[in-house]
Amino acid sequence: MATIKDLVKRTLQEMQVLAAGETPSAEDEELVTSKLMSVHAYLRQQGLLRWTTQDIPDYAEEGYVLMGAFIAQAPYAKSVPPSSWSLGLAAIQSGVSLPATDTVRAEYF
Amino acid sequence: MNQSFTVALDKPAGERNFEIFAGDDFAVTLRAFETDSPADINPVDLSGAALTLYVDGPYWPAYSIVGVPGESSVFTFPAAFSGCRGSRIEYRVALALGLSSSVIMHGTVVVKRDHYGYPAGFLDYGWWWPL
Repeated sequence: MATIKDLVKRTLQEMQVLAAGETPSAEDEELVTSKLMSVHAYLRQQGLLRWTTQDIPDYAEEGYVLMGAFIAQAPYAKSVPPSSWSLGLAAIQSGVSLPATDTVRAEYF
Repeated sequence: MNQSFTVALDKPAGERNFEIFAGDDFAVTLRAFETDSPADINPVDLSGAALTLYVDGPYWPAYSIVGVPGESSVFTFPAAFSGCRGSRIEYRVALALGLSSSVIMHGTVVVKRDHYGYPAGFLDYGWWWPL
C-alpha cells in the first residue's frame, strides 16, 4: 500500500529528474502530486478506482508512476516512452478485474 | 484473511471487491476520510455513527452486520456468513449519522472453497454445505 505522496519520488525518478538517493524539492513535489491526482481523477472517471489516495494497492503503484511520468514529462522537458500511459493503465485494469468464478448472476432489464 | 479498505466521504460510494475462502472467519476494516485528498491523512472518527453492512445472497435472505464505529471501523464475519451461498456475494455498507444515511461502499465478495482437496471446476466456488 502507498499514498499518492509516496509515489512522487518514484515518478520523478521514472522521468530521470531525480537520481537514487536525491530528494524532491517542494515545487517538484507539488507539481508531481497534482499530476498524480490527475491520474487518480482519470481512473475515477473510468470507473477503475477501488481505493483512495491513502491506500493505493501494490499492483497499482507502478501504473500511477508510469501514467504520472507520462503527463508530467512536458514541464520537465523530458522524454518518457509513449507507451507509458497505456502500460500503466493496463496494469491497473488487470489488477482491478474480479477473478472469474463458476457463475455470474444474470441481470435482466 | 482480513481485509482493509478506505473510503472518501466526499465521493460517491466506492466499489471494493475481495476474495475469501468459504468457512473462514474474517474481518473487514474500514477507514473513512473526509476527502479524497493527499493532505487528508487522518481518518474520520465515526464514533456515534451507525455502520451497517448488508449482504445479499441469491439463495438466502439478505442479512446485515453492524460494525464497530471508530477511527477504524471493523466488521467481523462469523460462520453465519455461510447463509449467503453464492460464489459472488454482493454487499454494501451504509453509514447512518443522526437522521441521514448513505451508502459509502459496495462491492462483490468472491467466495472460493476447497471441498475435495483438488480443483473441481464449479465446485471450487461458493459458500454452501458441505464445506
